[in-house]
Amino acid sequence: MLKDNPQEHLSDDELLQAFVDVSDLRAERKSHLGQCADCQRHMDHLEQRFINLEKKARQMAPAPAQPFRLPQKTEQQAWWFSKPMWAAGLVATMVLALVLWWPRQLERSAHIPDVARQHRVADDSLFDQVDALVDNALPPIVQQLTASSDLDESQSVIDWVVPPIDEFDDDNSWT
Amino acid sequence: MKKVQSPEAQQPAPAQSWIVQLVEEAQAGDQLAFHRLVDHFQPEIYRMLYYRTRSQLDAEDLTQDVFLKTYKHLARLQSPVVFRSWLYRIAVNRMNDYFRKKRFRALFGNASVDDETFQETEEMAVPPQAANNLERQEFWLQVEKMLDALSRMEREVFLLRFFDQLSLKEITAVLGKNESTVKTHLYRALKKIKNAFGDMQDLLEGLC
Repeated sequence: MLKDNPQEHLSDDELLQAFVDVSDLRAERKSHLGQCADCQRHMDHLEQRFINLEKKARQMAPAPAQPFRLPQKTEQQAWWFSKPMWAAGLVATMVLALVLWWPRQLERSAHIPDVARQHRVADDSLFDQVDALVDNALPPIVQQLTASSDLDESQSVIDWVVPPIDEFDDDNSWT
Repeated sequence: MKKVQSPEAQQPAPAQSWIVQLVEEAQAGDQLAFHRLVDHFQPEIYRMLYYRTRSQLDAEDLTQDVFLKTYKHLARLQSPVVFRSWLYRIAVNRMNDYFRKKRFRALFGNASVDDETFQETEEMAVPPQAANNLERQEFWLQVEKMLDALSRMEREVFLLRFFDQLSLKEITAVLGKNESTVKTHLYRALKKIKNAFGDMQDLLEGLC
């Protein structure tokens, strides 16, 4: 392996390496750089050029037009205005839940427990008896006159009670 | 004989105590303290974004975004000492988003394909101020030519180190890379520029 000549100046690559981080140079080269005025001058010039470049870039960049300031706190907005997607999702979920829940609820209300069903049968029977008593409250003759709900029969009863006028016209026996 | 200094030694000192104090006060909800931090860091963050976008308007917008994000997430910063690196990290991320959106727009036809390489000139951003603006334009054209040879990461490391004056340690924190990776990118960047333009000192002298 070739040994470095301690007197040899730093190559361009070594200068760049030193410029990036001098601690990355091998000890002998670092030692040379520390003692060699020429190499040191090269390094200083390179550094100075980059410092100048940064200064020039700074000059060639405009200054910010306006200072940043935090926006003033406005009146607290309802969260659904600031997060409309979340609000829409929540509403959709609620509608879906309602759609799924409602038919089940209807079905549940239609289902009558056995105990209630027995009570209902007893109630119906009682009301039938009451209805029968109400229907039979009048004497049979009156019931015969009024019980029929048939319209033709009702008409014949009315005709018998109050005969129509034209009946006399047609029946000469009355004259 | 002059003692060789490590690049770290030339870098700005780590966060001064008054900055740390302002960060802590801002974390506690003090908006005035935050505005004092903004006043201190806004010019350099704005410049950092301008160096990359070359557009005054975009740099303005991005700067506003960066500080708004900084304020929103300030409570997450565990060590106020690294506030500057953290701020630059937000700026780099925001800038990457900006270029990603530009590429996306170009892909879907909302912007011309040339938009990617389009650089707003000073004349477009502000009323022309003759010689000064021409000088600016010429300078940034030369810088662009110099950076053209570099990969995205080499370019970013180079800009952070020599334009934004961040130390190697700060760059590692900003980019989330280890120090040897950062040094490798920086060394490659310098070497590529040297290979492309010959004598780097002449190139830099020409630029300045």
